[in-house]
Amino acid sequence: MTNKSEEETLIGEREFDSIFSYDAGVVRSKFLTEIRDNERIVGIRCPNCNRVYVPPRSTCVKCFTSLSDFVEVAKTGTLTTYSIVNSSQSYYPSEPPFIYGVVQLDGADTGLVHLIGEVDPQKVRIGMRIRAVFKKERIGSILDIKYFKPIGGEQ
Amino acid sequence: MSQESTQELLRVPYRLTAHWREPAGIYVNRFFLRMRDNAELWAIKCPECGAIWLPPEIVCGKCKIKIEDKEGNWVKLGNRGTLLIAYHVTGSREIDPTTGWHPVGQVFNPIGFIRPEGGNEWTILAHVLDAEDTKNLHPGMRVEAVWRPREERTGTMQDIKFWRIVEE
Repeated sequence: MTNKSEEETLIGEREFDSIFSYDAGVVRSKFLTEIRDNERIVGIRCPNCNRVYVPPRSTCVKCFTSLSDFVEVAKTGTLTTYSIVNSSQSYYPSEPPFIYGVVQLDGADTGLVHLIGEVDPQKVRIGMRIRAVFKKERIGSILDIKYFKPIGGEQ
Repeated sequence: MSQESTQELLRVPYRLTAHWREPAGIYVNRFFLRMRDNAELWAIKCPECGAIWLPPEIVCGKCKIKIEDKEGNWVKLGNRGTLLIAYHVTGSREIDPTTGWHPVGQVFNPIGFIRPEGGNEWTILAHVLDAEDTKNLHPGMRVEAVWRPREERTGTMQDIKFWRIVEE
């Protein structure tokens, strides 16, 4: 008890695994089914302040108006910021290195967080023009969009 | 929004996972080592107020002083104790209807708050009770620790399999 250095240190191995599901709600269901069925990306417009939210939401964060005016936005847009992920976690959607980006689609006033693909992480830059790449098999998930890739292919 | 009432509403499946490693700290580490090596429960006693803490704590929860790591402050508790209160969780036996997921491998033994012999009013250990005893539990009952064999003990709370009712 007196000589601590001789004492073995036990290390606990911990696992957390939770499987669940949640209701997407009216607005987010519309967003996801349009991606799944029509390869369309829809936002929602605030009739009061004219902002277009992508992904759509049911209440305007600026003026608290209830929103219902869905509008289609482009599949192309601009990368407004990004982060290169070099670590690996079981819950990450991709193996490292991969890039998370905030994408402002043409016609939208807000950013959508998604993956940036088909680009060398060293060459990704803010302001890059990008385009959505849809998966062939779509299930009604945000990952039905595989990623956004630079317009004009590999940069 | 009336036209939305016929639209398809989605449910989004989700899975959160994490994996990490953690040491228990000097006091609880020793508590676990002695559970593993000696099948003994060692608590710590505050030299100021006499409160006995299990698992051992560095700071006394009653008078907030540091309890030094020295021989006289460690107290060996008995292998038997008194059941203070018990409850049983039944809900999580069910399959989640939205995911089909069932919590395989979870322990469904009753949970008990136990005061091992040698403890005082500050000594409370939460642990599992014998599933066989589920319908016969009453506060004040005497219970005893059922230890796993040495080769199965790894230095965790599960080194005690469960506590079972004992007649005295």
